[in-house]
Amino acid sequence: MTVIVLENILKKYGKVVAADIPYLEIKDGEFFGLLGPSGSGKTTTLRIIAGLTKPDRGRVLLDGEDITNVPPEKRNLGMVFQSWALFPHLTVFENIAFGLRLRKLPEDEIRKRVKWAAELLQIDNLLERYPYQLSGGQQQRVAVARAIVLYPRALLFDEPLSNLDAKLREQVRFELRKLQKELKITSVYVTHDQAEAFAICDRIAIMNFGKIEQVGAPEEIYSRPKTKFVAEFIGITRFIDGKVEEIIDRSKGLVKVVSEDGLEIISWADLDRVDKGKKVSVVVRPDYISLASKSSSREPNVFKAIVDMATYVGDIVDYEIRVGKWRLRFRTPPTIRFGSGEEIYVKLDENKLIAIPTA
Amino acid sequence: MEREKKQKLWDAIIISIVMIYILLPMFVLFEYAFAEVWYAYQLFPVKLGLKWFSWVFKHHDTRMAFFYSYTLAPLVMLATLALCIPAGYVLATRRNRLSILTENLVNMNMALPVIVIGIGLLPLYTRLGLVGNYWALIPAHMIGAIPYTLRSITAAFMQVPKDLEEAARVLGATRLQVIRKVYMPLTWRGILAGGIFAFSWSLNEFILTLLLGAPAIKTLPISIYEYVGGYYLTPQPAAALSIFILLPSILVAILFERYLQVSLGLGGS
Repeated sequence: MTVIVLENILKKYGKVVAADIPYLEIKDGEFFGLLGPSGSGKTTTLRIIAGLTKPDRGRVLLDGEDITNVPPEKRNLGMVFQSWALFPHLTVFENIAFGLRLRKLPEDEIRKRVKWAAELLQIDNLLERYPYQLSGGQQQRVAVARAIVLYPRALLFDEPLSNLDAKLREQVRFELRKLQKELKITSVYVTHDQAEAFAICDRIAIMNFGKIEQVGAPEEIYSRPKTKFVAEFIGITRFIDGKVEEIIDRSKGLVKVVSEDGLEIISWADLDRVDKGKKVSVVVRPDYISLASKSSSREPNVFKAIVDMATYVGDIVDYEIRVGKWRLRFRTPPTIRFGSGEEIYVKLDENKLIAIPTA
Repeated sequence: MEREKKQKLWDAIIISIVMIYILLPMFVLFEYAFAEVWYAYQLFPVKLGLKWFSWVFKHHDTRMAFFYSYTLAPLVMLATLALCIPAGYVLATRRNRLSILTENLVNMNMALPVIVIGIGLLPLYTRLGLVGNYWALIPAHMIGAIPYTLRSITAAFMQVPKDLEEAARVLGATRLQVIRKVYMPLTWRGILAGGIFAFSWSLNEFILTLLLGAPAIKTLPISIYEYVGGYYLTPQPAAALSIFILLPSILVAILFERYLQVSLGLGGS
């Protein structure tokens, strides 16, 4: 049972705001992601939870207990570092046993627990080796084993997969998620990789310039971004800027947007934040666009487009197309091919488009 | 074929020059130290023995020189380590402007002629009444030893990634336990090398000891100097004494290369 709460947290380095979090609650047993570009404050936030960085103000609560001034060694948290930080002078066994020995547990208890963690991570055949004799993937497993063997109140991950190659990274994602669900340890996962955060986490906070822009489940973050930054950071995103001309369907949240160059677009919008006359950016992603025929060109949301560039990537063809003055990204299966300069008709899905207020 | 032979010959000549250059003074030193009977017209001594060593031990002056040299060196080593271990940790872990300035100053000290430092210290010691004081020689020897020791220890600490300290903290280690269980096992080679630097510096130190210690305190190098230069020329006791300065250095060098796999030149671990 562990709930992590950050209250009123502020950390500055000189004049730069590294973390500014009025309130964040990480629920019990949840795999929570901190996602953002580098310098967005996600690692600072994680370090504040770990006790490695002291916030200028605010409180960190672990199950309601204020641990802001508790040193890291007394918090009983598990942490996996980006470099994995294995002790080079100790064997895998002694690396995993490091925290247990500090707690002065009896020898047979130490053996039992190291064995348990090593078997869970499938590294029980490596216990006598030294870190420099291990591959990156194996080192990463040792780092995780060393963190979970203490039965920590929570697990903290600081980009633990960024030093692995792409193939391995994808495989380890699922293993980490499975492990966390099995152990039911509240976990915080820092990454700049959207796919990684989506694959692993139950909920994600998107961070930018030290602030949390949005918190939500991956589907929510993708399909209902609240700010332009979130929309742009997640997926392949292009915008069409315009103004809301009228509200078409209040119950479905559909509005008509007129773009700067006069295109009429029906889009979904959060009507609590968007009203008639409001300036908006309409989020357009490749999967919001489908192919249409010339005969349907008078239907709403169907536009003439010009193919600027086509890139064959194997399972799909990636296009850069122009609708009015707007450059959009579009994909087709490789069975359909258009050349650059070709004229096509596309339909934008009004239920997927999102009109985000810009001012 | 012909070319290859020529190349090999040149290689042999160059290597020989270096070897002779290094080994000749050593050879002559040993010759003088162990020669009991040696006629001027002969190239090599007639009889070898330990005559000069026992001769050296019979004299009160040289016996005291042994005592001073072999007690000062370990004291200087301990005092230098006591200062340089925490200083090296600070210099290695906080790379701010002050620590870089400190490092530059210390390195500059390495290039400074010792006589210059001596001339600076002499009036100071005179005013404080410390000339000829055994204990006052410890800080004087440390001045020259610190740059080498500090460099070696700083390098050792710099090779320990900061992550390891933080990982240990999160795993439950207090600051003191981090030093014992993380830093010590990873830096002891560099620290040991630093200690050896200080030890051998003190053993070799001549100028400051002469200026600030003599005539009350005479260490081995001064005693040697007196045999060959100061008052009368007796190279044989001087050579015998020199062996005692040489011995620890050779021992340490062998120990390091063989068992610690640390190059003294690099000083790191």
